[in-house]
Amino acid sequence: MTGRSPLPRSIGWLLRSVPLGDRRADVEHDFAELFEVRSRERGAGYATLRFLADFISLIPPLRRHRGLFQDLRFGLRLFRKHPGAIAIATIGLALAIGAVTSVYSILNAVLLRPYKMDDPSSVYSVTQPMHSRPWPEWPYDRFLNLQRRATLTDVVASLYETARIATTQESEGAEEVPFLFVSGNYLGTLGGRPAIGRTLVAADDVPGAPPVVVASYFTWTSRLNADASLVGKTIYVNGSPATLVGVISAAFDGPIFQPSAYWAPLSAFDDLLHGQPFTESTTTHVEVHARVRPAGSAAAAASELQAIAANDQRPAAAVKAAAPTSVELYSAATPSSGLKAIENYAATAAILALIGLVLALACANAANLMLAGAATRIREIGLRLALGASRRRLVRQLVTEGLLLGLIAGGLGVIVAVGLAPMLASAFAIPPAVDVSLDMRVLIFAIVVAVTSGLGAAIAPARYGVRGNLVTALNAQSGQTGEAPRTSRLRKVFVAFQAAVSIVLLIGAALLTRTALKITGAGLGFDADRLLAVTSSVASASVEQPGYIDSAIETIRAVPLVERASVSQYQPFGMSVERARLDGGSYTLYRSRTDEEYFATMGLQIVRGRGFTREEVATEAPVTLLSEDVVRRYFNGVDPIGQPLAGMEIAPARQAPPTVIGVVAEMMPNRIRTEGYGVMYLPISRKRSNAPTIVVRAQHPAAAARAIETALLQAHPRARPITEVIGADAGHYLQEKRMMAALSTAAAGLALGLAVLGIYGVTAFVIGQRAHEIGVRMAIGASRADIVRLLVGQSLRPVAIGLAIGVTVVLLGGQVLASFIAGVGPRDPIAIGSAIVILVFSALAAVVAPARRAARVDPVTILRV
Amino acid sequence: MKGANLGEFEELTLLAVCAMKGEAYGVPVQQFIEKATGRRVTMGAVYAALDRLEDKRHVRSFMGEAVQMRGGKRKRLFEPTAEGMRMVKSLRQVRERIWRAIEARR
Repeated sequence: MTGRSPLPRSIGWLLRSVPLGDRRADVEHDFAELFEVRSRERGAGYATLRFLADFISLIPPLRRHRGLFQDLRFGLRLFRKHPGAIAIATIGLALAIGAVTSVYSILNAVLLRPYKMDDPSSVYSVTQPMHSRPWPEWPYDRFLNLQRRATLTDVVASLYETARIATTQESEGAEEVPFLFVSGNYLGTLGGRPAIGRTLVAADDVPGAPPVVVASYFTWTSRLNADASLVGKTIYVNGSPATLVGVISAAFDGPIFQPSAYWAPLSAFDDLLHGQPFTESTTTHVEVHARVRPAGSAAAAASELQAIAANDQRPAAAVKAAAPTSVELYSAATPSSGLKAIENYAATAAILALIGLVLALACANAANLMLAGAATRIREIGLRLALGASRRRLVRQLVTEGLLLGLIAGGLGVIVAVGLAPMLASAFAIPPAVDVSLDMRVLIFAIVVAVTSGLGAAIAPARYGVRGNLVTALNAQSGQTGEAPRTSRLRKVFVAFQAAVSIVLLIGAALLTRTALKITGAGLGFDADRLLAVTSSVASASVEQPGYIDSAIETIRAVPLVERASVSQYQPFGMSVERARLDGGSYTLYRSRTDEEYFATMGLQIVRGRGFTREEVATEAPVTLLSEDVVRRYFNGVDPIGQPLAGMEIAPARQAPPTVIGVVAEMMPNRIRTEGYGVMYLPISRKRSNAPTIVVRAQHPAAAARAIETALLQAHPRARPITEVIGADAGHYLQEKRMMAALSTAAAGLALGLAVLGIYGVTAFVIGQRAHEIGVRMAIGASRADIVRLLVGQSLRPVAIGLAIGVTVVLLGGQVLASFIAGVGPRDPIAIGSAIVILVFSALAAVVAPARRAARVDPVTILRV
Repeated sequence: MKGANLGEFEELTLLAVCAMKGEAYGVPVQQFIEKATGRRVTMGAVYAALDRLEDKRHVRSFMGEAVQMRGGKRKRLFEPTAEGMRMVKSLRQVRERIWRAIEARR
């Protein structure tokens, strides 16, 4: 016989997982010896079972819990006896745990999980004040100054862009992907190691170096067919060639929310995106991170960087901006740490509160059913007490049952979550490169939730089921004396709570559905389907040439399908948001600059007054057009035409207040957005340096888009036009709102289902308990209708109380919802009314069936028993 | 803890250790009790009982000789102390007195 352990590896690890101290060698040998003896005598299956029992007996808390298996057996017996009720409780809990776990797994992926890089805790955002808030972006020359002179940190820079990547020069149809330009030391410092080929190094990031890119592992597998032979070959970034020199390991994504598909050195920015070359004199800002070296602390590093930034050693003429007043470091370890901590914690807290609410609902439901179970078992419990069982033991029994319920539901819930999490992720438009699969943290969360909800479901029945005194418990003939008033009051509280939560969720769903319907039905205010937006991929040098826009518009107008073309500062769905102050109040509105053709091109009606003239546009005269909502809000019925916008201060105020010359129809997308009240249009001159959008109305948008791109490329070989059909953009926007409505409807449906099941379960149970009383009432002359009316009325009372509480909550706290809805007020009577109707009818249905069944029974059969 | 007195399982364990004559360790004790009583015995219970008996100074442990089956490692063995032997004898006397009384009544 050898000294090797005969324990199979499949169970041997269990033993290694518990602390055994200096006994380990003895215990392991004992277990191995026993396993060997038992499998020789009775077979491996028997030996394994006994091994598991021995293993459990080693763990002190379980060893003391001698009745564990008995409790579990009793628990399973209970499950067999009331399969319907238990199944309802389990399914409800499983759905809730599944929903909660998938939301948490998204929260985990998006906010809580550290970025994938070496030692995330030593990576910081380097900020300077911008509009009195810390801001992680710096002029490139200042970044270089920090990078060269810092001794306690390694300073890196990045610039987020999107680009179309193709393996052939024809990039037509390629999707835009996140593309990060980085300083040469970025990947090396943060831990982006190559899986294939090489990573980017400092030598790649010098002016004039041949343009190179590296791909992320996700991109390589999902877009490049995991083709290793592509490494070393040329790929095309917006049509410009670059060499793909490597694929970065999947273990890296870097301190950025939207994981990058490719990385390229900042020096390639000029070649690939036709931006300004990255030299000392570039005006482009880059995002700056620093890794604090092991020798330094974050505080010391921050003061060193501040000293470097304040004492710029270059000649004063070379330094463009004033030195920052303070340099601060913010942790960049996770998406929710550092700069974004507060807003993200608020979002996290809100989501967790919602999670808690749903879970509490499912727990209340399960508890209700368990409580009903506990009440019918008062006699059994009394008997066990009489036979000498301790109360503690009985409580433990009920708790074990709750835990069993929770764990079964938790297992099912995790299965639900595996399927639900990716669906939710795509509904919330999480980038596909973000991994939302369930990791260890999520599984631990699910287990904690399952155990907590199981305990939550068991604790109330355990407290109330066991408290009664022995004699009354034994006397309780089930079905005759009814239950203790305390348990029945508790159950009414549960029902009221469920009704309250359901009505809140139902009203929310109704509001969001009304929003979606309003948006879909009302249209956009303009004919989006025949509109095109033409932009350039970046502010490229050729686009900034004076005269480009004029000549581009002429080129576009010459395209046969084009009806009109005009210039706008932003795309119709993207406008700058401005804080406006008027007579002390602070408002938010959108601002855009347009030319004289814009309103006709968009199909936006000028309701009053007139549009811009060509001269006003050329000189950017101080005139403005306002949308209807702005006029309604600021002018209170006074005719705005000819009024100066005095008293309205638009930050930053650079020139004299503009005079209102016209009122424009409201664009639906602005009304359904929530940040602002309307739009203020100002004239745009052709001299503005930011490349504007050219808005085009054309007959066959898709064909026109191709024709426009071809024509522009012929006229301006350096231009990189991007044409988009605006209707598609609008459709996407509406889709988002519909998705929100669908999700909330699903949540409300789940809540309503749970509530109805709970109400039904409780009503059926209570009526069963009162069979004797009903028999007496009928014997002394009550009609069936009387009985039904009595039972329905009494059963609906807690529902009515919950409903009143829920509606009050919505009326008082509805403003929270306001940011999610549009076109309807948070107190919209139709939404609230329909939610009440749905709940009342559902509750009625849940109550009437058992009441009628009870009233149909012949009183004689009941009274004779 | 049952003070100086022994619980039933402790008594069985102590008897098993006595029966083994210095060859007692976890596995044989467990096998002995399981076969003698016909009920399932877990190793955790055996270890706990041996620990308690050692605390009450009814058994003591010592390191045995290296055994080939244990991969050449020495193992911890148990033997009854003098006090342990006294305890089993007195327990036996108590039981025999009671049995004699029972049989006298028949």
